[in-house]
Amino acid sequence: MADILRGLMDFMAWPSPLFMALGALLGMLFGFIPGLGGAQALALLTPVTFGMPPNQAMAMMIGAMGAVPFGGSISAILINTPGTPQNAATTFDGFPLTKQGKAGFALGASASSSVMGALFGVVVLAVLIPLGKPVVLAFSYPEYFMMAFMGISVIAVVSLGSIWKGLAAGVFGLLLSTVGYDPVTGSVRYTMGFEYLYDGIKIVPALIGLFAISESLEMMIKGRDLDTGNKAIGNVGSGVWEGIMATFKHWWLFIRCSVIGVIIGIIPGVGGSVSNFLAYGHAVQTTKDNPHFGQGDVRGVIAPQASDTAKDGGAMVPTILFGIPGSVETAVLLGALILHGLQPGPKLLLDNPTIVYVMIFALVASNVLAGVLGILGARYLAKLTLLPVKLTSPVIIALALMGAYATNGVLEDVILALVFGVIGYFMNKYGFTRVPLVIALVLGTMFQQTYHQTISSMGWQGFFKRPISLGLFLVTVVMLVTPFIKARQDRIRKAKKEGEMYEA
Amino acid sequence: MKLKGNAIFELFLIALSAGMFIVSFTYNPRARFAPELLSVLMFFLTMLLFLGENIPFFQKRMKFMNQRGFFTKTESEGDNRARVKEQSSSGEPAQSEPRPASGSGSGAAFKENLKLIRLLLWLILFAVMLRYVSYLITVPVWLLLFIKLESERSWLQSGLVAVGMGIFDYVLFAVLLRATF
Amino acid sequence: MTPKRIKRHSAIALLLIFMLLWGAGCGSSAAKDNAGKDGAGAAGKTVDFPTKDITFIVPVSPGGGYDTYSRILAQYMPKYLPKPVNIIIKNMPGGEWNIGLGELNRAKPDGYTIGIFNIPGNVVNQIMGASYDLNKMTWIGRVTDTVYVGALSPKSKFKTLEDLKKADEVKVGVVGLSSTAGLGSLIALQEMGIKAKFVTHPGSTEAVMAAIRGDVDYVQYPYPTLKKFIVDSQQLNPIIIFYPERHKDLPNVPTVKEAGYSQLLDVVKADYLVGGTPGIPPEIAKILRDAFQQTMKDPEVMKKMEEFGQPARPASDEEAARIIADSLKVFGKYKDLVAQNQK
Repeated sequence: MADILRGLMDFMAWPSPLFMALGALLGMLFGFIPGLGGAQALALLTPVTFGMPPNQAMAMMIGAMGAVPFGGSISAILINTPGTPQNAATTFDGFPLTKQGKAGFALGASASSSVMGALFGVVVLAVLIPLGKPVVLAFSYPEYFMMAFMGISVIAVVSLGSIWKGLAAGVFGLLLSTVGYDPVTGSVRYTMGFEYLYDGIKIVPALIGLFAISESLEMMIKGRDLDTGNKAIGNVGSGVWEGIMATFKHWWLFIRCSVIGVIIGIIPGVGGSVSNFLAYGHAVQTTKDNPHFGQGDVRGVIAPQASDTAKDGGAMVPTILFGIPGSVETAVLLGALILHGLQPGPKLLLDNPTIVYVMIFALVASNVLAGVLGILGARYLAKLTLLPVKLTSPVIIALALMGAYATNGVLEDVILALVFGVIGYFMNKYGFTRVPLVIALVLGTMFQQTYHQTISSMGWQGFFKRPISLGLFLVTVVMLVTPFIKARQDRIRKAKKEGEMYEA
Repeated sequence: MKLKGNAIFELFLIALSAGMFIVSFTYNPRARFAPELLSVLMFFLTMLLFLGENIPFFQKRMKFMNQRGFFTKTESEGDNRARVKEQSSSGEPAQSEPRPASGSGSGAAFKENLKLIRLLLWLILFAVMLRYVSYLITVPVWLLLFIKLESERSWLQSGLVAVGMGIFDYVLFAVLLRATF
Repeated sequence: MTPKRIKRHSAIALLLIFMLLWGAGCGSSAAKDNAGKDGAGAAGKTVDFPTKDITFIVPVSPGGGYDTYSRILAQYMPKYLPKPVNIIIKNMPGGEWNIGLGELNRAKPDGYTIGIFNIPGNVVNQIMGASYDLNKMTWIGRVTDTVYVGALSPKSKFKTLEDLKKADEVKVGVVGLSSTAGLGSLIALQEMGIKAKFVTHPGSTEAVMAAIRGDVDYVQYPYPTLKKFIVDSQQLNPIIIFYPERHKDLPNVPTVKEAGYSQLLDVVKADYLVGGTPGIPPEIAKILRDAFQQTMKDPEVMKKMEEFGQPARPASDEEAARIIADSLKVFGKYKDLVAQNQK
């Protein structure tokens, strides 16, 4: 308790809050720009914080880390491009809302669910530090596999339009994820002689292509502005307050999605790329009253954002308990701690408990700050969607391609983004949803590797002998089967009513 | 028989999966397990789509191809309308009536393809410029030209956007990120 | 609040952040101005180097050991250059180092692009057909070499090296078999006659985590990677150390020499080398080499590296070139073993 107080005092000591605020602004900016994310923000801040005492340095770095998920949701909602891969699911309903002229509403919902999710994550972190160890140790290869499996089966649930095209897109994504090093034997596949492809198709440029580039291409070719459908064109920024309240209105969904985020954060190596899909799929699955997911349902914004920020609190558990980074961001953070002479891992909590609490407070504060800024700015940000497409599209393209380029400074990333831009454009044009492709591409490698890990260390029985793995498997099966049965029942009922079975 | 755009795209996917299937045999047995399985699956899925959508013979016999996504289970009227609007606005001919969309639209489709090619050339220009001149020049110059020539806006507008983005890029990438590319 | 005012506020806030970061950069370089003076004299010949920032390529993602050592160097080395330009870290992960090293190999040989190397990992890549030739690189020096430690999971049924030799199958956690650590595990276990089954992981942390959970029996990693699991806490049990004498932090752990496998000493190790593009003019290379050696003697640098778990063990550029030549010879022998295990 005394440590918590001392941590709070340390965090409040000037100029730590200032550095936290600067970090948060930077984090929001990096989150917003597709291609740049938390890892880049932290890598940038590492040399800047060299000269600072550890408390201030951590306040600044965690400040940046905490604000990234919300920053990324802004571009997901406004320009249909996830600012970071973790925001991919936010585009599914965030952008349709923008198309309907409800950008302010979506931004408000994203801000409030992000802030509340972060608070939830941190509270769980504080409670869970003593219990974290068994949780971390309970998840092994089969559980990882089942989580990837669960994430991939979300495809069946979220495909709009033809289910067959959705499945084809998903299989296409899985097939593309086999490019590069085979995770088992280390031989390379489908690289066509390019060294660049050895590590497989990189997610960030692929996302930039599939979303930012293909969306801009389409809008320019159609020559239609974003809000042509919207009569009350001056009102895009309104509804921010309703958006904020939406999180509270759907508080039970919010809590469930935050729990998903925290649990996935705790498990090292799974990370945010799964949690947002699982939360989204969960929301789609469990919503009974009047769902219109994929066409602008605010619950489709709340769910991934809540799990995204809640995950950050969870990711601190393995970092603090084991010295094992739970995500790319925490990996950079661990490097920075070492440079400041702090040894991450179990000893940190014993030797330097205050710094741990400074990190926790900074995480909360930066999320609150980002959320408040987002809420204040939402109505103005929303107005951006009213600008003519002929002006915004080239800017989005330039920004997105530069973001792809800046992550590693290699031109191949730009070319990959262009290729995926064309693929995404045609997929969209011919009724293949891009969502299954993204989910499969992100989770494919993990799916494959954990499968082989399980087989080689435990045999196929490993999947079903362990209670958590078996439980996850059953949940997935139920998730896949129920809508099918329900749809059938609905159809039969409807057929009875109309007196005809099929009308194609 | 004249092939429509979606048929060409589906043929492309079929060819791709077949190609990947064949290539996978050059890998060792453990490494080719996943790609082999997936490419076969993909081959049959896309084949099914191609036949069901484009060959009238199969179209009549594969009604199940019209199965919609699972989660839009409430087939209320309002919902349906929203989806049709969504699809037609995203360029896909509404699936229940695929025929009439093609006939009158071939001129428009040609224009659309032409525009796509032009835009792709612009994008390739961006990549080429990135390769040979610094991004600090690429971004403003490309934006200036694009907005003036492609978007047909005034020099003033394109100039303002170009300068603004140029400064933003300079501050973000050169100053903050110390980018050395 | 009016929209205008908010816009102005956010503009001012952004401006502030940029000014602050800009200022931080300028401030630190101004402080370095005085210290660099005598470095210029040592260069002898009057070459105007450096006149702009130097890029330091790190071919792995930020956060790990190679990245940390590179960042320590990038922070302190400018002090010893004739002119205190910035040394900018550029992480270029991918292709098991090949992407970053390919870029380094293609860069202009003007001394403004240098980078860190991982030996024998990069040597193995070259043997397996990478685009660069390590013999031709302009070597600057060695930062350190690491000591490898083999450790058992506390949940494993094996407790000693003897148990492992008797076992029918030992599960070993690795990243990939062509990585330095993976190859080291492969060769060491083969030479010791242990029947290993390798379980691959996306990164070393995942492999270590698997050992903590008890899903694999054995992991073999550099001491700095394992330090927090075997010294700071007892989450893994060290059973062997690949070093000629006992380590001061691990006095009870037998060395590979005691176990009777001295031949492994040349194989199971990793050198952290710093080098540049092939063909950097000798006078510029000399400036870099001198600055590097001075940096490695800086007490603060030594302290930071020691804290990280592996003290600095600098060596000259000639030594670095010799390490490369030796390594190429040693691993040529194991080429078939590697190729065979990639099947």
